[in-house]
Amino acid sequence: MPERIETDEDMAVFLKRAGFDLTPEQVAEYREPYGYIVAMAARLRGERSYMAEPAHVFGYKEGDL
Amino acid sequence: MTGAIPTIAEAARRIAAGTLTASELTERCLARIEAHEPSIHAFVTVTKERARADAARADAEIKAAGPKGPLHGIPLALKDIIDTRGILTTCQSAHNIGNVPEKDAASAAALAEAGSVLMGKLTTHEFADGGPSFDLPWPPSRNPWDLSRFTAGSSSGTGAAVAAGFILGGLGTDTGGSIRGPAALCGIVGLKPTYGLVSRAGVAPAAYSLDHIGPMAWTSEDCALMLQAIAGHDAADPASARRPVPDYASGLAGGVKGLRVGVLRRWHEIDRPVSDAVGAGIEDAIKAYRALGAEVVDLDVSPMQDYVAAGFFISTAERGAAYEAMMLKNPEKFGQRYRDRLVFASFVTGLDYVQAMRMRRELTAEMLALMAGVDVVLTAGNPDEALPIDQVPRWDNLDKPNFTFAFNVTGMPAICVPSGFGPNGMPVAIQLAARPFDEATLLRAAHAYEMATPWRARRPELIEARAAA
Repeated sequence: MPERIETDEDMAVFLKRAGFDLTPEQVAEYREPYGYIVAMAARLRGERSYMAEPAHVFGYKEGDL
Repeated sequence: MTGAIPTIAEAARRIAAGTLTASELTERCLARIEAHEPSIHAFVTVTKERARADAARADAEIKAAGPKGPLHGIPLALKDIIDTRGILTTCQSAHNIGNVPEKDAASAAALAEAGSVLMGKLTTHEFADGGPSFDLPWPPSRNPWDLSRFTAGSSSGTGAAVAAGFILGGLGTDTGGSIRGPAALCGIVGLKPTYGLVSRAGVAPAAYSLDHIGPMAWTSEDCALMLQAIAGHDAADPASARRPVPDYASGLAGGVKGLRVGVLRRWHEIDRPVSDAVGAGIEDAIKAYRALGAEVVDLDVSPMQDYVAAGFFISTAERGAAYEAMMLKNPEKFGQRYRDRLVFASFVTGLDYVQAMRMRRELTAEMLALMAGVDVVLTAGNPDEALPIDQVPRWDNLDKPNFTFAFNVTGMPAICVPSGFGPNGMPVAIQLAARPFDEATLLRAAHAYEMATPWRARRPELIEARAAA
């Protein structure tokens, strides 16, 4: 799992890279939901079966072939 | 007849019998809108002239050749993320403040083709997520049962308008519960069909692989009649399913004798304990189903938080992708709560998205296995009554799971049906879900429960008292 962002400064840099130019106050506000999101991300990790692959199926039409 | 406004089925029977006209019914709805809309805000746009023209045309057609179906002459409306040719379609956003589509969405066209009367475009959360918001060009909808309370969302106007009797039915959309949440809190019925059953063409995306369009109405029977008109394959929707469309209404009266109902007990007892009123509604539903001859069993299921986590990462990434360009170009045009949702997308990595998709496959397999032993599963629609609208947390649904998201993740059909009232007089609901494309069984189970309980006999007192005055 990606490393957790620990400080407001790092959070500001992270959001800036994503295109969000936020004030320090706005950055600080997002620390609470970020904590919930990190907790939810932990649930995604674990052993999965081969059949869990998000299989891509090409939707060729008859005329494409 | 329920108060001054009939159900779709009742109105259709009366229109067919010649004891009610589309114009009379439309005028009755318009009068209620005129009286109560200023305090409810269910509409972004009321299409009064279009409604009168549709009604007059329907009356002429019915007089000449009889009704072409049960929606002919019935006043309906559409959530304002559904395109309508020549009519403002805002998505409740400053981004779309002058957006007038050149073409109807597939579902809007289908309802028009069925002869329905278009009453207008209904309030939503901005681009169908994040509300209630007070910083948008239009106010959020209020709950007709108590104007100080939330409707849930994002099909908030559809829930409020049906409950208030402004329309007999409407279309909502549902990415994590946006049909079923407002249905539960506004005391109506809301059906999220199977993913791919109803075309998304012409509907603004919320999250591509989780978006559903479906009916909201006073009864399950009315939802069946509306679904009949909008279900079916559409090549204009890349995720549209090629499945036969059965007659959803014909089996409704078949009852539930021998039906198997599975209760997802851990969700409402452990994962997110519900209020006494919601819990009592579930237990009463179990008793009702047993009394009607159904078999009820408890099922073991993964934590609701697992389903919600998968849904959160998929929806957040897909929403971010859909609105990335608008967000980076004009972020100030979004309201705060929707902007929050787009900021969240930057916290979702590619790895998160793929892991969530893998988890989704396993959770879908789990739910399919559970449903192999039962016909429908039963859970809560919402954990409690509606909150006061000014007390909905900014980070709502991040710290606690909601009951509806699981069936967006698995794509299965699910319906919320009123199951009583809480101590504040606000509606509460049960939720039923069924195997993919088995809407017929789902609607039959919902209809049987409705017929065995008294909850469809009562409309919001505020509206009824004023209507009687």
